[in-house]
Amino acid sequence: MLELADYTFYFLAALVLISGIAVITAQNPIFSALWLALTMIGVAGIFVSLDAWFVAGVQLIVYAGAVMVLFVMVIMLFDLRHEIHAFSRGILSGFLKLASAGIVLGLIVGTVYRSAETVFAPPPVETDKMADVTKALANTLFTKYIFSFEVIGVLLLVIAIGAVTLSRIRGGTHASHD
Amino acid sequence: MGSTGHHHHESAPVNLTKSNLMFVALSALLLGGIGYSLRGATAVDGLFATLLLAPLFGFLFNGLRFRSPNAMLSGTVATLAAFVSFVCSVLLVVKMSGAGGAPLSAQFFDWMVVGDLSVSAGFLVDKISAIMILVITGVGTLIHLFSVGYMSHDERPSKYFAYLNLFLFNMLLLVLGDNLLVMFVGWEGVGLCSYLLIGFWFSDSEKAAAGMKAFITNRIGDAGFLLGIFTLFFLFGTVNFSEINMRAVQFGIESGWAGPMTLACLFLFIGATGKSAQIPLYVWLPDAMAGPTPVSALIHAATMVTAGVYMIVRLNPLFLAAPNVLHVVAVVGGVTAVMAASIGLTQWDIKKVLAYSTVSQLGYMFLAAGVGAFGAAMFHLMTHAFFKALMFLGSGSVIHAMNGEQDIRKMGALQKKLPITYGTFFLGWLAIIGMPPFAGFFSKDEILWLSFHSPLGHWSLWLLGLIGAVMTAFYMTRLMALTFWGKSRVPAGVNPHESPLSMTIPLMVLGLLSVIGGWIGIPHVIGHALHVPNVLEHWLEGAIHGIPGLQPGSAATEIALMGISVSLAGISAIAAFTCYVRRPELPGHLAARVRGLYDLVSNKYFVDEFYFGKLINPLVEGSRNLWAYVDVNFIDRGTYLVSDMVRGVGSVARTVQNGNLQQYALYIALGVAATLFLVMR
Amino acid sequence: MPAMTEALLKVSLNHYLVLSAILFTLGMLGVLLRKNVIVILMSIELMLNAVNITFIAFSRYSGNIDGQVMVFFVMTIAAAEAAVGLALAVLIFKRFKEVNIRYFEHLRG
Repeated sequence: MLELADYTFYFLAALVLISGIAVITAQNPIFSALWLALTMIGVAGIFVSLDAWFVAGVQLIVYAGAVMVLFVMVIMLFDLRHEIHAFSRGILSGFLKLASAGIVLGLIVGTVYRSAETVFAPPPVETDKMADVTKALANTLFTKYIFSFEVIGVLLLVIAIGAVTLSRIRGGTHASHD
Repeated sequence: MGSTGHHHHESAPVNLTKSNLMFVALSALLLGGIGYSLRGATAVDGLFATLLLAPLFGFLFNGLRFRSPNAMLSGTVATLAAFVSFVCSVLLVVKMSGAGGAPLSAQFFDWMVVGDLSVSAGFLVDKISAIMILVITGVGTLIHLFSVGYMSHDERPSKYFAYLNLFLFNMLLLVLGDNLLVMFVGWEGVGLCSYLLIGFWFSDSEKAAAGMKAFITNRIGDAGFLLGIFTLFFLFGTVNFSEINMRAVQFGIESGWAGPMTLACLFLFIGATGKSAQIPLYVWLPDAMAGPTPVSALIHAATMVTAGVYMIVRLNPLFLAAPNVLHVVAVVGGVTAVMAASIGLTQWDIKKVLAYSTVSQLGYMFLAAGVGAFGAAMFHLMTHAFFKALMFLGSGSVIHAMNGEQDIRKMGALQKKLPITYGTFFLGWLAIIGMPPFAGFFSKDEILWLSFHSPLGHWSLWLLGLIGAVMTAFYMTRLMALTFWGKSRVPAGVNPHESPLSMTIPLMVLGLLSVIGGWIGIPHVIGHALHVPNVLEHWLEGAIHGIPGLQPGSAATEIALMGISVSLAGISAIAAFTCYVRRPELPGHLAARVRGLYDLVSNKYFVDEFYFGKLINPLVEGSRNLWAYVDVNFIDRGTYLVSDMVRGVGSVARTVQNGNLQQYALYIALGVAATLFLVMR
Repeated sequence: MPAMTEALLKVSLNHYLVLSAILFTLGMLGVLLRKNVIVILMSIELMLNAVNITFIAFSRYSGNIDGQVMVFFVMTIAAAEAAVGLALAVLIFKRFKEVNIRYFEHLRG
C-alpha cells in the first residue's frame, strides 16, 4: 500500500522535473532562473524526504538563496530580453545531441535497474532528531574530511580572487582600441 | 625641508604598523606550530620544533619584506631567532646530559615510505650533534649580532638576514637529522644559502661567478654524497644513522679496496671534500670570500665547511669498518693542511689568507678523523669555530674600518686605531698558532699526537701536521704584522675607526672562547699534573668509538712532541715577526731568491688553471663536438621525423577541435554514452 | 491496484536514482542545446543537483553519513564554478554585448 511518503516523493519529483524542463526551455533567462530556484526548492524537499535536513537547509540557503541571487543579479546587469534564437542551430548536431542525451538516460536507467536490487526500506535512522544527524555530519566533516575541507577553503579563496581579477579585466586580448 | 621631514614622519609609522602586523601574524604561525607540536607531545618535541622553526620564522619574516632597508629591525629579528635557537639548544643539551647522556630524538612525520625505503622526518641530539648545535647557534647568534653593524650600510639587509636565517635552519637540519636523507636536505640547503650569500652582491660579476663556482664544485661533491647514500641503502636497506652504524659493526672490518662499505665511504668522503673544501675540491672556498665577511665567518669557517667532518664523525663506526678509506681521509687531510697553508704564506688579501687557513685547519680535522681520532676532530672543529669565526669577524671589522679595503699591503699599524679588534684578533692569533693555553693548542696537539701514536696513524702524517703548524704560525704572524703592527701603509683619505659595540661584543665573546674553549679537552699528560679531567673525551665516550688497538702512549713522547710543535711554531712566528716588522725588506729578497717556487705557490699551484685547462675546457669542447655531430645529425633528425608524423596526424584531428564548446560537450556526452554502453554489456 | 504495479510505484532507492538520471539528462540537454551562457551555467547546476540527489539517496539507504559530506563539497564547487562562470559571462558581455556561447570560440590561443 502506498504511503504518504511515496506520494510526497512523486509530488516532489514532478515539481523538480517540470521546473527542470522549464529551466532549459524558457526563452527568457530570467524565467529560467526563477524555474531553477523552484527546482532547487524541490531538490531540498527531496533531501528532507531522505532525512538530510541540514543539507536541505544548506541547499535552500546557499543554492536557492545565494547562487540564485547571483544569477539573477548578473541577468539584471545584462538587461537581457527575450531571445529569438534560444537554442543552438544545426540539424545534425541537434539530433546527435538529443540522441546522446536519450542514450545516456536510457543507459543510466538500465544500469540502475540491472545492477541494483530494489531496496524498499532504508535502514532506520538510529536517531530521528535533526540535531543528531547534523552532529554526525559535523563530526565526519571535521575529522575524516578535514583535509579536504581545508583544501576546498583554499580553492574558494582562489576562486574568489580569480573572479575579482576576471571582472577587473577590461576587454582582455580582444580589447578594441577605440 | 619642513615638508620632507613631515612626510617622513607620516610614512614611518605606516611601515612600522605593516611590519608589526606581519610580525604578529608570523608569530601567531610560529606559536601555532610550537603549540601544535607541544599538543599532547613531549617537551622535547617542542624544543626540537622551536629550535628548527625559529630560524625558519626569521627567514620568512625577513624574506617576505626583503626590500626593506631597515637593517635594525631585520637584524634584531634574525638575531633573536638565532638566539631562541641557541636557548633551545642549551635546554636540549642540558636535558640530554641530565638524562644520563642518552640521545634525545623527535619523530615529526613519515617523510617518505616507498617499498623498503622508509624515511621519517626524525631528529636526534646526541653528544656529537650537541656540540654542533651549540657551536652553530651560539657562534651563529654572535655572527648575526655582528652583521647588524656590518650590514647597516647595505641596500638589502633584510635579504641578507633572511638568507642567514635560512642557512641556520638548513645547517640545523643537517646536523640534527637522524638519517642521511634529512642530512642531505640540509646539506643541499646550506649549499644553496652559501651560493646565495657568496653572490650576495651579485651585480659584481666576479662575485656572482664565485657563487656559481662554489655551487658547481659542491654539486660534484654532492653527487658523490648521493652515490654514497645509494650504496649504503643498497647495502644495509636503511638510511638511518644508528642502524647504519650498527650494521657496519656487524659486518666487521673490510680490508679490501673494492668492498661495498669502502666504496660507500669513499663516495661519502668525496661529498665531504666538496663541502669541507679538501683536495681536490677545495678551489671554491678561497673564491667564496667574495661574500660579506660575517658570512665567511659563519658559513665558510665555523659551520658549513665542517659538515664533512661532522658527517664522517657521525658515521664513525662505518668509517672504522673501512680502514682503507680512513687512510685516504688522513692523507688528503694532511696534504691539504700543508698545501693550503703554503698558499696562505703568499696571499695579500686578508680574507684569502684566512680562507686558505680555513682549508688548512679543515685538513687537520680530516687528518684527525683519518687516524681514527674522531673526538679530536670534533674538538678541533669546535675550537676552530671559535678562533676562526673570531678572526673572520675581526677581519670584517678591519675591512669595515678601512672602507672595504682588503689588501694587507695597504694596512699596518692598526693596533692603535682598532684596539678592541686588535686585542681580540691577538687572542685568535695565539689560538691558531697553537700557543698554550689557548684553544688551538689543545686541539691541534691532540691531533698531532694521535696522528703519531694511533695505530691508524704514521709518523709521516705527524710530520705533515707539524709542517702545516709551522707554516700556520708563519702566515698568521705575517698577517698580524702586516695588518696591526709595523708602519702604517694606510692610504691617505682612509680613517680607520673602531667598530660599533654590536660588532665588538661578538669579538670579545669569541675572544674569550678562543682562550678558554680548549680547556674542556686538556690532554691527560697535562691534566694529570693539574688535576683537571678531560671533559670532552669523557663527554664523547660512547657516542664515538675509540681508536681500535690504541695503546696507552708514553707521556714523555707526548710531551716531547708537544714541545717540538710549540717551539717550532714559536720560532716560526718569531721569524715572521722579524721578516715583516723588523726588516720589512727581507721577504722580498727571499721571494726573489726562490722566484720560481714563489710564483708557483702564490699562483696557488695553478690548480684553477689546471682544472680549466685539463678538465672544464675539454669537457665543454667535447660536449660542443658531441652536439655538433651526434645531436644535430642523428638525434635531431630523429625527433624531427617523429614531430612531422605527429603534425601530419594532428592536422587531420585538428578539424574536430573547432572551438565550439557545445560540440565539445557533445563529444563528452557521446563518450559517456559509449562508456555506459560498455558497462552495461 | 495490482501487486506488480504497486511494487513498481513503492518508492525505493531506484526511484531516486532514476529521478536523478532524468534531471541529469535535462541539465545535459540544456548544456548541449542552449546558446545563452547563463542558461548553460544554470543547466550545469541542474546536473550537479542531480548528482547531489544520488549522494543523499545512497547515503540514506546505506546508512553512511559520508555521502552528505560529499554534497557539501559539490555545493562548494558549484558555487565556485558559478562565480567564475558568471565572471566570464560578464567579460563576454562587456565585449560583445551578448552572452552567446559561440563567442567563447574567441578564447582560443
